[in-house]
Amino acid sequence: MAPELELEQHIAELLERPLQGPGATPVPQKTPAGLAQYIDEICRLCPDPEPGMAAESERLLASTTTIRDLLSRTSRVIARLLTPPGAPVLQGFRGRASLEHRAYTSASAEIDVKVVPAGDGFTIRGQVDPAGTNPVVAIVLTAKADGTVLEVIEPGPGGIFSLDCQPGTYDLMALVGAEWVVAPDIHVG
Amino acid sequence: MTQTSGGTQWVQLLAVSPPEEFARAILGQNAVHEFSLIADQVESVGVQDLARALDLTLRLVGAADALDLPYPKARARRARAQVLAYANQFEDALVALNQAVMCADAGSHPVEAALARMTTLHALARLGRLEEAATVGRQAHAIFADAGEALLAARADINLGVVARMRDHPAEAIEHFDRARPHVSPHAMLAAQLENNAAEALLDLNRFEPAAAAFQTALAYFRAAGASRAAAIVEGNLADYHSRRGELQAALTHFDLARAAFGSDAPGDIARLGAEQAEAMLNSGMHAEAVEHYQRAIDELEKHQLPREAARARVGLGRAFIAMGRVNEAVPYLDAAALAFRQLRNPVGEAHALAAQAEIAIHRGGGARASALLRRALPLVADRPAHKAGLQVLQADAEIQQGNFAAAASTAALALETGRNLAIPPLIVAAHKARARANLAQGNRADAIKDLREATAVLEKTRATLHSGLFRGAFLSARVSAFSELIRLLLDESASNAAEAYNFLQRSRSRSLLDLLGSAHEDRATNGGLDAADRTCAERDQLIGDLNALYSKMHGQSAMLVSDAALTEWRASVAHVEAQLRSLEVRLASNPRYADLLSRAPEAADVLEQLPPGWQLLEYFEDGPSISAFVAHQGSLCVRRGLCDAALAREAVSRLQFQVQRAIPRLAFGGLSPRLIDDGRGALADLHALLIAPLARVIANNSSAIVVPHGYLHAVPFGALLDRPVLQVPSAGILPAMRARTPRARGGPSLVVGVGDELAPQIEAEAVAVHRAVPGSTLLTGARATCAEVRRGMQGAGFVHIAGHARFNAVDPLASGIQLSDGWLTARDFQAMDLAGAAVVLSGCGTGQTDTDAANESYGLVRGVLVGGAKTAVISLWPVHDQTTTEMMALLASTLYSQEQISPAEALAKVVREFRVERHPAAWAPFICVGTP
Repeated sequence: MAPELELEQHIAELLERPLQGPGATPVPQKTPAGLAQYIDEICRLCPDPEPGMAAESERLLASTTTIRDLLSRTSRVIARLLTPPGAPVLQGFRGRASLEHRAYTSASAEIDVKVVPAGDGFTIRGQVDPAGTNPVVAIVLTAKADGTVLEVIEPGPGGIFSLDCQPGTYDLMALVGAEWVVAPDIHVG
Repeated sequence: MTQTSGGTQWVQLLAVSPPEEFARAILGQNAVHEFSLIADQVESVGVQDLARALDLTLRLVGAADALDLPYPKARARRARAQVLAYANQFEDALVALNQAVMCADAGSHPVEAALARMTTLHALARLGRLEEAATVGRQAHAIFADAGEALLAARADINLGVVARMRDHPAEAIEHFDRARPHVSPHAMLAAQLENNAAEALLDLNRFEPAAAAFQTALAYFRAAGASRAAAIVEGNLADYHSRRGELQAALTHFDLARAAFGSDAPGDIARLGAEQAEAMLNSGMHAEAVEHYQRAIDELEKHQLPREAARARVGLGRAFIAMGRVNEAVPYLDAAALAFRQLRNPVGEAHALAAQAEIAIHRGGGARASALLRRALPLVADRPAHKAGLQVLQADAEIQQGNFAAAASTAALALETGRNLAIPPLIVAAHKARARANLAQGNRADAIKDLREATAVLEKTRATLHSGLFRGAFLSARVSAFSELIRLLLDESASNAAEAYNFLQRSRSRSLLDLLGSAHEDRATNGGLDAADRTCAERDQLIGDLNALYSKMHGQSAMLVSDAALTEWRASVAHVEAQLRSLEVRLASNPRYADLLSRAPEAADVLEQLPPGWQLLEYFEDGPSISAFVAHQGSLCVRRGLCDAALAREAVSRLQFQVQRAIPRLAFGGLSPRLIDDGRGALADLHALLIAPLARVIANNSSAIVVPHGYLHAVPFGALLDRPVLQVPSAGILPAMRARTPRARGGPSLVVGVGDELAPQIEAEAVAVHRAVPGSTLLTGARATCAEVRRGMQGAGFVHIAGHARFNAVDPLASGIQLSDGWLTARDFQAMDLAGAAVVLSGCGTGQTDTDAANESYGLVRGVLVGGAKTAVISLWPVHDQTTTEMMALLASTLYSQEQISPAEALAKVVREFRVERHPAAWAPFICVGTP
């Protein structure tokens, strides 16, 4: 199992905001990072913990907010590519579409991403355009292979974002209102 | 090699007889003497047919054992070992040689034992066991000397010299070669080998002149002996020699010669050459090509067990990655090279690897770490002045990072002195730049300017020695920072330096394109103003043209197709023209206008002269961390500095491209929302705010503009920002040459072409509409629009409009083209045409896309069209929308032809004004007009 991304306090709060409506599952306030620090402190004060303490720590950690929790408790839609992958011919144009630029569409939002080399790695530049008035709350990058959450960021004005990454295949998720819009299969490198 | 009919017969018998039977047959036939001849013969078989030679030597050893005589047993084993060495089976060869020495010693055949030791030396050297190789070599030498075998002793000395070089003891190697020289002079091949090896050792010690002389002697010996392959090796070494001296053109020429002479049957030598050629490419600024060559060479060098050369290639590859800014990719290659050199006990190689690691440390701001690495490296090259000076340049940079400015300036001065003494232009330039940085850090701007002036002067001269436009472009691109730093310092010093700074800007931009477009002296010639220096310059151009033709003649031809006689004749022609060229350059050097005439970059006054009334020039350049611009108007030139942050400008260009690419699929498949249109306009507005608004006070109302973008700004449609007639050009330097082109009179022959398909069905409708607007034009659509017909139609046409699918080829930008019914009309095709002042419209996707390097050298379809002779060209910066483009182009043609005096730039501005309302910029903004008023 890949390590789960720990949410920083402000991100956890950010992600919680749209879930606070009727029927939303409450989320414990402590983040794993904070809890781990707390457990570390206990261990420092009590170098020989009682046998049950480790198990209790595990239980506490498992009950806290992780991005995976949030993803599993929120509805999501898979956006579809506007341009067919691999053969980016464009009806009504006198040439081909850019291979680096991918335009996704869904009823909730449109997502555009462009992969560009940056130093020794790559950057995924993008923009999320919500269909309605719901705000774009967060952008999450996950590894395609095992769903590991690699990065969680707040987009800039106009839904613009930029994420550094290494070669691989990723899914990109945008939290629009209380719904995740997924731009799948972003190949990098 | 002795050849006797008897020996041949014995070999034939050996191949078919059991060893015992062969031994019986040879017994009593002067067996010892015959055995020696047979062994010679079998060894020579190994050069051509290894499998057969391996079989024969196995049989020979069996026969010798059956004879049970010490000498045949020793000689057979030496022959066996020799063939095993040919097959790269060095460990097995050493076993056979050990037995050979024992057999020879047992039979009291000291000379044979010494010969076996000589073969042992070869095998050990190939295995990298250099100390052991030197020991057995010395033993062999002593035996030969005791036996009075002066020639064999000399051969042992040559081998010991080679091993000494491999052990990185070139001075010791030279002692061996000097000792051998008197004994080998009557033997041409041996003398040639000696001189070639001695030259390499001299080169190791940076003793360039004697090295060159020794290489030439070796080449003469090998040529006289008809040894073309050995001569090719010397050619390769001469190429390395020129490369190390920074004589890049000569280096690349010798590499091509050597490669052609080797053909394809010497993969190890070809790989070695490939690595050395990559080094010359790296030094001339062709970094991507160098990476490709190095990567290919490393695999081959390892396959052919050339660990030292492979390690050297790894260092080169690391340096190429550093030059490309891919520093992390360099690290593993440099680590591997450093380790290999340590294992090979090659201190100079290790110093190179350490130097490259220091370069990375400097790149990362780790001056202290760089200094530590260089302190380890410097003692390793204490006896190599050029290498040491290269390290001192790095050391100066490391010292600057640590705040030791005075020490940095002194260190750079030492490197400069060495560079001057050894006449190595790239080293001189690097040292000047390092000292300039040190002086500047101390607040001594005047001295920094002086250093950079000298550095750019050396660059100018060196650039002029490169005969290929490709090399010239790459060379300048890799070193353009010397110019940009100088421009910045001149402007920092005083605003009154603007004209001088502008002149340096022109020297650093689009020089290869300028060379292609024709030169200033030709214009002066047209005006009847030739003076003596101009004529010399014209002669020089003619010679460079002749040389290019000669080089082209050889390029790509394999040795199989080139006879020795043809090669000799060709070489003589090249040498003759090169000598003439050098003589002319000396004459030009004595002329005060030398630099200008050689480079022919126009100066501020030339450019101002070319600006017609009502036109203003905006020339952008990167000014340290900012974007600045020169503005020229009505005979005056001023500079506006710090318009915006360069990183912000780059980001804004990326944002525009992103918004365009966002809109394109929605224009194709639907879903273009008002928000997307706003975003597109916002991206243009951002660029306006960064690049135009800060110039508001100096941009004259009602004037048209010639815009020279900088690097990534070439992707900006300035017409969409300025809302007035705009011409974009890659460099103001091309204005004089372009202005000399006379536009064709309206009403003359014109060509309109349209090749559409189901994806872009409006193309042919566009062609018909344009044809209707252009009186007397020839229309070619569909299958009739073949490459041949279009080429024919373009000759003499004053207006050419081609609508079709187009592509930009990022890998080979000059292969970018526009699609016709039977193929692509590429940039190279346009380049070869005579468009003679035509107005060209290329109404396809990305016909104006270019790959632009640091020296503002733009490669793409537009380069072909400009070089082909067009006066103006309307082209597109991104994929164009079929329907909108059809409407825009129809309006462009009717505007152009309904108003007699209107220019393509003015017509385009009018069309853009009509179409920009309520549309996304992706649809209306892609078109720009390049060229001159």
